[in-house]
Amino acid sequence: MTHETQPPAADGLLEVEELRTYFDIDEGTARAVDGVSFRLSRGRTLGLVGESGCGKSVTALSILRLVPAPPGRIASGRILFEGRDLLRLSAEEMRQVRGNRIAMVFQEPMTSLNPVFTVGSQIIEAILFHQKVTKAEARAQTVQLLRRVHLPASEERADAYPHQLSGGMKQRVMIAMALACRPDLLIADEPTTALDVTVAAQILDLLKELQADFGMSVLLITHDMGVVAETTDEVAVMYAGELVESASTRALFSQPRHPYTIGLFRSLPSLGRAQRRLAAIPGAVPSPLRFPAGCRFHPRCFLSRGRERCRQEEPQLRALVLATAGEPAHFSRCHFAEEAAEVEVEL
Amino acid sequence: MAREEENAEKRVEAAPRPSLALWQLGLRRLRRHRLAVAAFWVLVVLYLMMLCADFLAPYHYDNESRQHSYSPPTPVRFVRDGRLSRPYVYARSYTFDEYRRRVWVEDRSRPVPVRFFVKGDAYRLLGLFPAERHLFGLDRAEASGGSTGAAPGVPARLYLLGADARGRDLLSRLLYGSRVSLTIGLVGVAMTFVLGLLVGGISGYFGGRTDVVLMRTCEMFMMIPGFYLMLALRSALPPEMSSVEVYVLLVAIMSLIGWAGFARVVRGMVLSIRNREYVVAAQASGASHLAIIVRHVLPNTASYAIVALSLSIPGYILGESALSMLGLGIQDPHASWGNLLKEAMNVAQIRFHPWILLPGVCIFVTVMAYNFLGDGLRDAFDPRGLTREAG
Repeated sequence: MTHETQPPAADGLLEVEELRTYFDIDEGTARAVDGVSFRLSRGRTLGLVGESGCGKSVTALSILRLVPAPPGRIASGRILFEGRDLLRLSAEEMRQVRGNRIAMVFQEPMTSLNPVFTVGSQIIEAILFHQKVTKAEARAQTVQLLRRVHLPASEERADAYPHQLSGGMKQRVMIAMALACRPDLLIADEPTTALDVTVAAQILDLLKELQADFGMSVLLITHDMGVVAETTDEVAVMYAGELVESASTRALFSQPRHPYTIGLFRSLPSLGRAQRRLAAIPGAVPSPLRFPAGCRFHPRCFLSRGRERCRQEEPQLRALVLATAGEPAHFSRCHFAEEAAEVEVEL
Repeated sequence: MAREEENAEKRVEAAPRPSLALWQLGLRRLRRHRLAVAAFWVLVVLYLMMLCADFLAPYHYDNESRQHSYSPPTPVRFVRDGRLSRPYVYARSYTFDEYRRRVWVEDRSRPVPVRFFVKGDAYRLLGLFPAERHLFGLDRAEASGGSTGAAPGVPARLYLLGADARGRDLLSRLLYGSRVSLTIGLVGVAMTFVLGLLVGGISGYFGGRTDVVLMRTCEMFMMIPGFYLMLALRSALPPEMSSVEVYVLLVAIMSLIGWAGFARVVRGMVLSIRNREYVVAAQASGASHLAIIVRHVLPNTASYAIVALSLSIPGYILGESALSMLGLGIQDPHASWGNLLKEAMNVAQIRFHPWILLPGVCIFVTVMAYNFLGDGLRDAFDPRGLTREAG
């Protein structure tokens, strides 16, 4: 790894180092997350991008140690949160971190709320887990939180059941619940995927606004490059359990340096150009049970074109542009990253 | 744009919709289920009668009169000498005809009035307050003929539903017997409920080896045919026990058989609920295992549990009846519907004294009422139905 090229962690809130999360299933060991490292500074937003099944969500669950075990296990790595390795905490200590210091918003607002309790009581519950307050105080906080996430008629809505709210409202409730204890890190796992476009935009605006107000860091997991462009400071692109590219959002969008990232960009429709067939990446994400030899992306890669090196040698993540003040280094896991950098990508 | 949506939502809010909990929606649907409502009220009446058994029953369950063995229901008369009078009965005695059948003769010279709030056998109302007034009955002095000055012959007895072999009032015994038969289902189900939720919840939530061990244990219990297990367990234990001990034992035995099936279904539900996002969300907000099981997992099995349990109460009632009828349950002189039916095992008895089948009717009515109520609950609390209603 080429971590030495990164600037010394000024205020690295979260550092994930060589995280490996495996699932032992009947067919063998599925390497869902296979050596992922990244760093998230205080107050910043990191986008974790990739297709379905590339290990984004498992990475998020690993940080909270919520990977269902068995069959899942965190095989190795370190997850440093404010310098403490979360993987070494006791179950009780970990519970103090969850929801309190690190909170999570899930993809499906429809199913993330318990249908048999009012939304208010579920937020109150989350507050009471971590704060020594009376129920009445917790309720007052809850109404405030709901107002804070712009839930209309928040006082009455606190007594509503999940089925009485729309998807967007439920996601606001989920965000309010996540913010209940003013966490330092918010993990948002595809928070807008299940919502329609206009509501999704509002939720993203809300997240940005709250992030600024609360000064928290956000790990935003998404497959949507548009969402990344709009909300993140830095991006890490995942493919087949590994990071394939990471850079500041601006750098990545101005010049992607991995053929997979380029493929993601090309598969986006763009305005202004007449009827061009979208260039989908051929094939599908390989099964985490059997990754291709050499570069894991080579069977789907437009740059590889059957080159021997791609099939034989596993590429390492390397810094192509060194870090400067306020700008992280640009990493790519491609033997021919320089070639990739030459490719024109119209956005 | 966000503002616009907010305004739109505020306008919707102008007509506030009452917040109905899922159970409220369920109750609303239940009320439309006529048969279930009727069954519910039948049960309410039965249980109220059970609570007031001492007061409603004209006699104590063990108050016998050998001279009135198998007395048929006493006719209550309202007309005397062509004029309306207060209700009264005649004292009756029997002789045998040539086929050794009982022939009942009324002593028409001596009407005995049926009195309300009459003093009779002493009891404790609701088990607390000593009392001796009964809703209705015969005054003891009047019944034995003391007040009319006639020679004390066979005393008058009030048997609205007939008498058993030892001349005990069947109505009184039915009322006292309901205390066993109506509560055994509830107590049994309560035990099944606790055991089933606990084992099913733990098994489904933690999975893995815990799950395997607990579920194989359940299957061991389910493997054995229930009735034989019941018989075996009962006969393994000493036959001379007080009625209270027998009662507790019966409940324990039946719960022991009943919990396994319930636990398995709960486990299946927990298994699916455990992986719902709101459980993961609760974990992510720092909830402990116990909090998650109690707050998030088990409440979501409630609609199933309520229905399954109300449908399984009849099983307990029938189980008690069966054991008592075979002489393994509640023992004479104590009454339960099952041991009252014991007398009806002989076809000849039924032929000549058909009223001894009445406990069977009581069991039938109760079991049917529970089944209808359970059906209604199932329809009303079906989660899919609920969301259809709510959506």
